[in-house]
Amino acid sequence: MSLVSEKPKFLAKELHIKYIKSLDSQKQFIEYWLSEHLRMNGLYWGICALFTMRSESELDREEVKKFILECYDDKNGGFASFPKHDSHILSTLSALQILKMYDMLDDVVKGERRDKLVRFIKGLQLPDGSFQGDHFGEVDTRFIYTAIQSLAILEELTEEIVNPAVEFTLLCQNFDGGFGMIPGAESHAAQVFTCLGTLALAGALDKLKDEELLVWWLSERQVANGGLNGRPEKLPDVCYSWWVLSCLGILGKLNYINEKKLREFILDCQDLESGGISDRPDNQVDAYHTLFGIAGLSLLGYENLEPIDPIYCMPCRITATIKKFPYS
Amino acid sequence: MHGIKRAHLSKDGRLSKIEKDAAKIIKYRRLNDTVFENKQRELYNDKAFNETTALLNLNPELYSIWNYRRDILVKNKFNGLNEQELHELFQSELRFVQEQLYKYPKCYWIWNHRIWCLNNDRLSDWLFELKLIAKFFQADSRNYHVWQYRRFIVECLKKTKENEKDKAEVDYDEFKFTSNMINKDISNYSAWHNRSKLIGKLFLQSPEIGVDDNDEYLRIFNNKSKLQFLKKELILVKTAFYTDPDDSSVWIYMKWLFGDYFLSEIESSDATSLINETISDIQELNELELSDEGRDNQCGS
Repeated sequence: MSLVSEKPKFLAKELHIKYIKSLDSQKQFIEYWLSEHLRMNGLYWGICALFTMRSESELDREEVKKFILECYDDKNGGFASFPKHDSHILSTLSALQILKMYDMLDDVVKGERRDKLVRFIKGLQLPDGSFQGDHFGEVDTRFIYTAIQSLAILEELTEEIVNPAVEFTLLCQNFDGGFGMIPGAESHAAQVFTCLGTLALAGALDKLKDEELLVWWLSERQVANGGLNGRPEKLPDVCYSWWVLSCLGILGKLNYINEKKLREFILDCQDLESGGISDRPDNQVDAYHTLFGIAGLSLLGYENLEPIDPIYCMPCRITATIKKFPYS
Repeated sequence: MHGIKRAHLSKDGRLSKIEKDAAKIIKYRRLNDTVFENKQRELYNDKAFNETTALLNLNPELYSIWNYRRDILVKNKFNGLNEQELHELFQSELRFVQEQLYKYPKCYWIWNHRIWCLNNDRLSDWLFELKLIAKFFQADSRNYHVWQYRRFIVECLKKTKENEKDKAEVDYDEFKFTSNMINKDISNYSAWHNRSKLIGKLFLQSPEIGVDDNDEYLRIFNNKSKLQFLKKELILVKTAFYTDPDDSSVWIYMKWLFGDYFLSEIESSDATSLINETISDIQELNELELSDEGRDNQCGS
């Protein structure tokens, strides 16, 4: 029947590029103003998606640099999500990732600014090895990962920082092999990613226990329609195409899920009218799901996408230029 | 954006939204600019505080404004207050946060602010918090934040108990709470998870928790018998997989029950017979499924 819409078989690359470029021209809508607290992350999601689609020249590099500099907090040395907002480790990593991808890191982060930035990040570590997101004390394995990746990009990791962070991370593993946000918390695929990512960046994957159990739990995230969920008995969501798949990628076990069905699920979440990718088919698209859908497709080896590094969520050709810890 | 249906605005729809949003944008930006300007000028007075309330009501995701609000509290509003007066101030802060949480139960920054308040109030009411949590579970019994918050509150409650026995009793009450949650809904994986954590703690507790001959789990924990525990727990697990064989929670949990944590402390003959019994239960379930629905439960379909 012609009324039944055909499922999309291809990545609508041109539409997604157009969608990402349109994100900064939505000023007539209230949602644009309500999302300033996420602007730096949003910029990273959009730019990383463009890099993965090999279309990074679609954005003006100098404009991007200007925005990042406006978000630099001279008082404490971190980057905020938006000018005048407070610096936080989440927006700091996004800023560093963008600078690294556009090869502007050494230009923007140098001299005294570099020293202050490294001090800001290292200063967030607590005596138990965990990291707080800012000086108000919220602790979460997300912040350990973002801090460790930030220092990895700056090539400033040290044994003193890394070892306690690894010890704390290992305490977050659960009976099912997965990891939670702090010791005691339920396993969640996004937290598994931050914990495995931390171990990988620290060169400490050999300390991972119950790997087989973890891989089993991860592969069980695939549901009947091919999508992946983040916890048992939850709905599938495109962002877990990244959180789960990157973990399997780090452990070299991508084939533990049905790759063809996941690929179809992601393609099915595309908005073929205005571009972008949503959490589930026929839902509202956003930059976050657009990146993690495309990044997932890249891990699945989708044609003509830039291979993406499952540890950093940046193109492999970029991360190849980062010196790996332990430094020789 | 999670779980919001896709909608493409028609040309008229778009124009009408732009028209409607224009007033909202003016109001929001005016307030936003004022509060960020206050923050830059390091204003810590009551007016600036009330303006953070108004702005956070429009947008609770503004973490910088939660930070600023805490700065105002510490640098101005706390000044000269005794313990009781501070408690009252925190109470009003908690009421504000509670309203926010009803609207945005998954916003990290709001939960974070609540925890900050409770950590700073020396008269915090942990039992009230447990009652509040029950309300949140009625709305969503898998909310990741609420479970995390519950574990935090329980740890705070334990700190108020003077001896180890009383602390262990709090853990045991939590264990019973997971039983209740699982009995209500066997697919509550968050409850199964918490149960696994509490079992680990209860087997490590040294003092006897209290004696109630009718409470078999209590006796088992006091006797530290993993074999007895497995036998008892497998009854619950069997009920759960018969209730909903397609639910993955109980199967993941069962995998743990038959892992090293338990089996390393059990005679291998006992372990073998428990495993065999369970296998035959599962075979029986499969046969039932096959005759009821024409399919078995082995392929995960």
